[in-house]
Amino acid sequence: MLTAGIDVGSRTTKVVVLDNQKWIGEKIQKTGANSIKRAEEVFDLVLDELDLKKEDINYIIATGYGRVNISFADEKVTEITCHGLGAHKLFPGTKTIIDIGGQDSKVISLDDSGRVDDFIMNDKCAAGTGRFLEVMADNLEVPLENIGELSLKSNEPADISSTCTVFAESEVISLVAEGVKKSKILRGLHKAIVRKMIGMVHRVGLNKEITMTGGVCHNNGVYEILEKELGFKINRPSKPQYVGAYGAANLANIKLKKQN
Amino acid sequence: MYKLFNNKTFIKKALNIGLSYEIAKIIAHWKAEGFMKEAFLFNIEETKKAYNNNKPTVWCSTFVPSELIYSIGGVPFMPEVAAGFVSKIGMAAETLHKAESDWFNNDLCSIHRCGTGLMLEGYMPEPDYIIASSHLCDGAKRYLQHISQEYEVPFYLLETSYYNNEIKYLIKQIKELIDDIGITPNFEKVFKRSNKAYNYHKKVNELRKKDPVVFSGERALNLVTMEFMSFGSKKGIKFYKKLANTLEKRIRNNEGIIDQQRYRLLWLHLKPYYSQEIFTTLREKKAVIAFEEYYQLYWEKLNIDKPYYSLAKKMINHFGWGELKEQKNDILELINNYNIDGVIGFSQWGCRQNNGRMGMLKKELKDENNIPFLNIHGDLVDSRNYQEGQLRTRLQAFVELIDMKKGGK
Amino acid sequence: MSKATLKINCSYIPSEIITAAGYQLNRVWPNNIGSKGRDLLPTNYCPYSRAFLSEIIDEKDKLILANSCDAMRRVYDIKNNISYLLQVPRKINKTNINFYKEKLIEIQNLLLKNKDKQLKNEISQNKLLEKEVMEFNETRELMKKLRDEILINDKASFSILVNVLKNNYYKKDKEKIKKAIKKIKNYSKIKNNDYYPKVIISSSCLLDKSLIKKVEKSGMEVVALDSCLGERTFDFEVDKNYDNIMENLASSYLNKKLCPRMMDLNKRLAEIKDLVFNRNADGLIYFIPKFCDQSSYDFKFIKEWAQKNNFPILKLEGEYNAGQKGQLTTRIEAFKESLKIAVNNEV
Repeated sequence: MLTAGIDVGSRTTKVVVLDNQKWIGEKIQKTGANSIKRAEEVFDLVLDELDLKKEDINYIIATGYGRVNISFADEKVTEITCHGLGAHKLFPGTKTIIDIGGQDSKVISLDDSGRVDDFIMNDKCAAGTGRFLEVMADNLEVPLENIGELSLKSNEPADISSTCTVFAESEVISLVAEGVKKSKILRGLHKAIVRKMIGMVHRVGLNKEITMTGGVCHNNGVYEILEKELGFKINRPSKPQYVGAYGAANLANIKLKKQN
Repeated sequence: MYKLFNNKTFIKKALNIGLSYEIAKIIAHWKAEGFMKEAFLFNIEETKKAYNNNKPTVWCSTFVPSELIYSIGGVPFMPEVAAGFVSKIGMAAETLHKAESDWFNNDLCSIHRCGTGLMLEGYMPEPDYIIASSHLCDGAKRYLQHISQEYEVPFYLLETSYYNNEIKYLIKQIKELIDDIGITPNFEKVFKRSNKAYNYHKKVNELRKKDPVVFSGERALNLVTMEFMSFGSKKGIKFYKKLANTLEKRIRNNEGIIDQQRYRLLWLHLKPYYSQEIFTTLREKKAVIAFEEYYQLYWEKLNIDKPYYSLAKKMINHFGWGELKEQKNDILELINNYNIDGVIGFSQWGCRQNNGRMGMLKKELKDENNIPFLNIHGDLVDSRNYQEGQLRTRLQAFVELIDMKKGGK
Repeated sequence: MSKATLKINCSYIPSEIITAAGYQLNRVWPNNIGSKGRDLLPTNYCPYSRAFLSEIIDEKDKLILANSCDAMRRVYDIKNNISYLLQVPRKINKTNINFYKEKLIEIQNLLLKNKDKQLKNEISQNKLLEKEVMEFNETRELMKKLRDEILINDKASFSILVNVLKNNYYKKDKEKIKKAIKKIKNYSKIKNNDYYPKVIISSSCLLDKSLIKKVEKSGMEVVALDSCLGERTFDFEVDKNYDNIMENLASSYLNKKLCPRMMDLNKRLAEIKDLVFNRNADGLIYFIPKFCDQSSYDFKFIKEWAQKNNFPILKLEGEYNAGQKGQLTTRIEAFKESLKIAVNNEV
């Protein structure tokens, strides 16, 4: 039984294909302006690689911000449910999921059976998302992929008190003018994003195990500071951006089984 | 026609002439039927009375019992209800803008800002006096007091005590208020009407316990003005009677709101007045609002032998007043009686009394009683703050959560 | 035997009743919003209520809260085991004073419930209350003296008043207050030729000293602190006619300088005008704690008067440590500059 999950995010579109429960292929591309077109393209690309046709896929679930437009999907399910299932499949002991994406972030809590119990989303404000870090990396003229490591080079964070990205940016500019080291500023910025996430975690309840998902997982600075602040080890998938699509493909599998 | 409706002077003139209301009534008779027609006619008639000078126009906060106003021969006018109406016809942004330019903080409840904006724009009927109760919130009594200063009319504050055993103070205040106004109240006629409507309302509430849901929370909240203003009026009786009859018929014929209804939800607080996709999103997932806290019959029938006591009791007994643990118990009872699968609490921007209870209610209902609970943030009146995609995701995820919990699909 | 502590949130809870029942009184003034209980109140909510909740959520000491506003009412709902919610009327009239008095008696009875018989005896209770009224009246007089001393001394900051209020007032530590007064008296009085515009700082609940410090640092003189973290807590006297002491307490407390949550608008305006006149103020800085409805409405009301009378008024909004935020600094300095120009033009 072949199933696919398509996660159409505002930044990137991801597809995962499963054969029964085995992960056999995936693809990620920038979503761009035309999410429908991109979804089809990414889907086609991965099918091509696997030497499969669309008709070979028995059930497709679309998730993410752009899910509503994916007409070729059999069903549309929110990214909450899909991330929940994806994280549960990857790390069965997961009770709390911290997802930090390019333009949104969320915390999901799972019950003992791995089902979503509660969730909180931040999709209104750049603070607490990858965008926050992008803006700051730009400001500090440090490549995005290096900010995590650089932040860990400082033990003391600069104090960034603003919760708003725009105002935090002003603070960073002042700090640079004052001659504060980039690593210290970055540490402060990473602490700020972690602080925001922790606020969300507490609203939903912190229970281990904790799994982090989303593109910002790759940032070791956020990951390590988050672990430190929460006081618990955090699971980190090797392909963190695919968790939603993976969850969707798994859900497709479950739906198929029920149908039969 | 559109240009005409956008013309402020035209609207203000139209509101003050009887002909507009007669035309509106004709349209209501023609286009509407059943309980909807009664609701339209009630609102048209009351608005007309508020604008003409035959009876004192009494502005009041939403939870001042309408029976009190009717008993003293007044026409109740609730600016908060006007704000809802204005939002429905898409005019709220202008009035909010007006209030903000007049030093009204943006953090304040948009309903109060809208009411103030309407007043500043000159759309509202002039009050003869203003009565506010201290329940449920600070904002309502403050903005009404502010307005009373603008109009230079008397402002009365009824401080609603928190506990039932303090009722004598509220009774005293009501008596003093009536004395001050100087009119002999006609409680008998008004209470009779209120109690008649009460009987039909009780029937409606009983019918709504059944499956399928034949009267959704969305529709009920559209008509919530009737809850606030119609008790004590003749049309109120007609409305609830027709509503009860219609629901009875629908249940007999198994006319549910949606096919294959799966989940019955409870709604806390009010709902946005402007057009939005909240309820269609839920219906797509086969969930429907089976009941809402604002339709509870939280008071006992009014006793003509103890009129002041009855009115005071109605105020103190309001479901949203008093200690939160009582509210929680009420809500649990509703969940039980209405077979509720999940609760959606709406947090209105700037509504301190409501938003401050959501955290606790969620903890009590979800964590301690295992009842799925979703708190959504939005604005009742300001559609500029409505973000459809984000709300849809939350609502859909919530129903998916209930789905998984019930082991469905 | 050390006394048990009882904590409160509002200046409308009469201190005398609590200390007469044998408690050490403490008004909770958090320094910032802590991490506990954060999920129970929304983030867009009064900072004082959130800070208060996080400070007392695990508190074992007794607590009495006043229903100063909706936010505080919710704090009461959230925290378990609060001994009493004091309903403070918003308008001052006979009916309300009576209601308030009855509530104060309820508090007294509650606090005495488990105390020994001697304390409970009405006559001795009244005697104790009289003593506490006298003690607190004396303490208030000293606080007023301290305020007056700060007013006549250019070098003394109003933040001294805040420190003494927090640390010494509720403990009735008259000696410490006298010491503070003496210290200020000893400040050298070097006359400075620069004119410092005189400003009143008004608020429902000024959260901390940071704004006072900022205003003073920017070159203005604070001449009144119209806040409960400020003069409103002590700038009154409880009537010493002891025929009905509870009646006096009720009446005197309700009639003290009005907090923005009260709704006797004419009295509130008269008090602001008095302050402006008596302290020779050039302007008023109104601080609205973010999401505080009471001060939003109060400000609007005072603003209308100020506009009609060409009296400069500045609105600031903020949370804890507001005085350290850059955005406020700019506004404060701009305000000062406009006042200086105005004063110079008049001179």
